[in-house]
Amino acid sequence: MSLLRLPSLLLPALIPSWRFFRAIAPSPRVELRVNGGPWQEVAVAPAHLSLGQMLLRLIWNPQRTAALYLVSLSERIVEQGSHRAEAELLERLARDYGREHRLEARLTFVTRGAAGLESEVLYESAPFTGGRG
Amino acid sequence: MDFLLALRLTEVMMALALAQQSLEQIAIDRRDTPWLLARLALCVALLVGQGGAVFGLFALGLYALHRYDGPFNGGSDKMSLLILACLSVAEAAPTVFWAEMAFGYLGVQLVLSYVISGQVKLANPAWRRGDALRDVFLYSAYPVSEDLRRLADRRLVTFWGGWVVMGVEAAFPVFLLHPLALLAGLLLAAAFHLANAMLFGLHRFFWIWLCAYPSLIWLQGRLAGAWTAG
Repeated sequence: MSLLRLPSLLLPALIPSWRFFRAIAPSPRVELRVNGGPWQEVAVAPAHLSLGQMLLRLIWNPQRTAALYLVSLSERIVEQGSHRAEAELLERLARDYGREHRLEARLTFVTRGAAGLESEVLYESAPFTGGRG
Repeated sequence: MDFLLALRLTEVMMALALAQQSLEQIAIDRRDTPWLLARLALCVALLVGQGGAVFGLFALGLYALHRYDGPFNGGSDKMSLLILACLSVAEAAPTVFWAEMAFGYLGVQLVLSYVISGQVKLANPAWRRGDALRDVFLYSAYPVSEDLRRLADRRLVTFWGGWVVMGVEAAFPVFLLHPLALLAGLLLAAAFHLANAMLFGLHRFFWIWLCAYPSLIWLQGRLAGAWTAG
């Protein structure tokens, strides 16, 4: 990435828009297929967390922070067509889910439709391995 | 609150918050350990009173923006950079007036972070109907555990919870009318951030927003003092 892009990244921090959760957009799920097997969602939230676990995670929660970054990357890929985000996402998946395997990734976006929850695949990668990125 | 005390309190809180972020980030991205260790060292320097460390922390904040092609953790990274920018200007300011202007800007932005966020929600019918918060629990990527998705069916949470959030955020300037009102407002806002941290895993937001609170407590007193004197 060119350093020339830095001012455009910094400006929203110095003069923020603060428009948090203005609307609830379709939400990405990152799914992975290993060696042609079934698609499986990555970074799945646990079924339950106790109050103690929630409190502990206030000071130490790297997995969750990393999972939220995958969400950001997914949105950058689909909304901005960012090749940099695509490379970063695939590199992280290869690093975390097995460099020795043939992997494929896809982004499924979930939203609420008239008949209930609906999902749509908006991105699917070519097969890749840990050598990528 | 005295200006220098508020400034120092912000430095100490930022040092601790950025140290927490750095340790977590090392666990996430081990190959980034060198610059994250440098950030940890700067946090220690800031913690023991080396105010100039904010320049290095701001520079590393810029590097992180470059490294991740944007914020790694969304709004919390933006708030971190904003606070570091304000602290840097305050540190470099030739006179107390400009230092106060920089620190005051942080206080103003803190108020805006609530007011604008509340206003944009109020303008959205989905938020006013309770559908937006319902959708956050129902299908967004945020709930930290699957059983929390059941809260999507709790009208008390999605409708009234949404209205409490919108009301407190949009009406936040009212809390500036009195120091005790501001204390109550900041406690309410901190409780909101705590809920977001526990339910949605946005713990970095919780700590970093608290770091900006001294600037607003000082600014409220400064403005009230100027009003009384005027």
